Amino acid sequence: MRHGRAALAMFLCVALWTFPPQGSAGEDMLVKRAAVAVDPSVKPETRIPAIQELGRSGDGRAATSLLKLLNDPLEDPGIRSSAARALADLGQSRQEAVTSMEKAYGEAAADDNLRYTILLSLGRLKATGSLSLFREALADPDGGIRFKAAQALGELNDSGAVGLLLARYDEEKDRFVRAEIVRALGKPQNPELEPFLSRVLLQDGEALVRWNAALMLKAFPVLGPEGKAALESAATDPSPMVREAAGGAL
Amino acid sequence: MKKIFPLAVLVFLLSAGPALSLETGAMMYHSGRGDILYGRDGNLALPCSPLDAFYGELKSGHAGLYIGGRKIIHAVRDGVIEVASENFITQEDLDEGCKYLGAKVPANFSDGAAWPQERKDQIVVIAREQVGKAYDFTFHLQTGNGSGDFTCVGLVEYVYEEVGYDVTPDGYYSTGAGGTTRDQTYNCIITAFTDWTGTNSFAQAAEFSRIQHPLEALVGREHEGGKYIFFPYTQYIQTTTVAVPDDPDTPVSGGSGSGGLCFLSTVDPGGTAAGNTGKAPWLLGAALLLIAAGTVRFRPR
Repeated sequence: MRHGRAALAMFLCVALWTFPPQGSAGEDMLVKRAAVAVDPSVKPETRIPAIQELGRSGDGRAATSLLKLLNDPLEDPGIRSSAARALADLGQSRQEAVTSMEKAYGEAAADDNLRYTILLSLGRLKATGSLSLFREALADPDGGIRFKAAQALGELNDSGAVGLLLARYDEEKDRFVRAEIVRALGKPQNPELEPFLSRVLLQDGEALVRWNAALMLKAFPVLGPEGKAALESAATDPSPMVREAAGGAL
Repeated sequence: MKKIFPLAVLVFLLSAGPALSLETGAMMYHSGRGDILYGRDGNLALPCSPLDAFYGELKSGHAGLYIGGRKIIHAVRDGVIEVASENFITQEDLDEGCKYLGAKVPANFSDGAAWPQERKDQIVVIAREQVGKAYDFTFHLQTGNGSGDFTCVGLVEYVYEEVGYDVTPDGYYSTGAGGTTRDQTYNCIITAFTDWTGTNSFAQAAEFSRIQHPLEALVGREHEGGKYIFFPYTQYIQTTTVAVPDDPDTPVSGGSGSGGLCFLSTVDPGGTAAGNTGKAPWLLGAALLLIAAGTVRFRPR
């Protein structure tokens, strides 16, 4: 009898831990997830999914826990990256999130992948007030940082971001970063940038960059005469990838 | 002159040999802890316990992309990250028995007309764009599909598809030609220590293999009422890719970074994760009833 009850009790404990009962309107679940997320004694592979769920909860109260994680420089970089990403998913407490991300990005010992994630998250949050951080990131000696800054600025898609990207293109030596600048400027399909993309397609010395310019121009729903002429000229480009991208009906 | 000629031949032979550096864009693979790899040598076993199955590692190995400069991009617990190549298999995972399987590139990678340098470079561009995105802990998407939820092998497949090369044919396998199936009887706490038999599969001809597991409601990509997982070994064995020699100048293991394991799944116990159909509480209820019934029977007379 005792053994049976003990087994049942043990099973119930494990079962409740594995599948706890749902609280009223998910409130208990939010509290539970937040508790798991901020508990340093819990394994990261358990905390990170809890952090992801907080970000997807749509509940503004989740921001408190996420900001706490992001603001702690002693926290695991993977946990902090996940918190930054979740804050971007949540989209609430936006100003506090942006401020915390800028602060974490500026830490002297910040992990590279945390910085990459913060740049991406700032872009997703359309942090147009963070242009000075992006300007600094575009001049970073690490090509990976410059690449992610360019990608994030493309998400911002405002005149300040476009100006930074255009200025950086002329200075940038790394073909991967230049290609990403072209993609960032091309994805919003802004007709005002058609002349720039056309110039890149015809003049950039790297086939990778020209190819991406051709891909971007081809995706425009309507092309002006400059874009059409550039694509026609690119049909004789030495790169087979550029020729293929530029080919077909305009 | 007699001495110079053999020396010249030797220099020529050495210079004409295969390049030793790992090529940018190479797909790298390793087995799971204990050198276990789902799909290899007929192993189609999944752990039963929720602690092992969905709070642990599925013993399905790992895949990543070499992007040059002794760096890789891979999807792990922390998300899609760019790290030093030695973090492909961390020292901790090496100690736990993970083994490097090797690196592969598309079968026509050396064909300059098919793979000019800019196409190889584009692999790096697309992979870097994914850095900072999330890991798919519930395996509800696995190959990204725009949302940024990747597993390790899903990331590699996505990047190559974006540059126009389909490493593994799209599709779902559950039975018949193009893969193998095996019944597995689960008996652990989640089945209330009674036998629960499901059929697991391993696809060779398509990305996604069907799994049947007591907790399948919580994980996997939903397709026509079943749950499917894209396993790294499916991609590894594709004939669309060929093995490349190991590169002594590019370490692939021994790093101290965060986990280089794929299929480290942790389901959301609340049952609200995408793809979760909420069947777990029913399973739990049934299990409790069975246990309660068993307790009554075990009552001493």
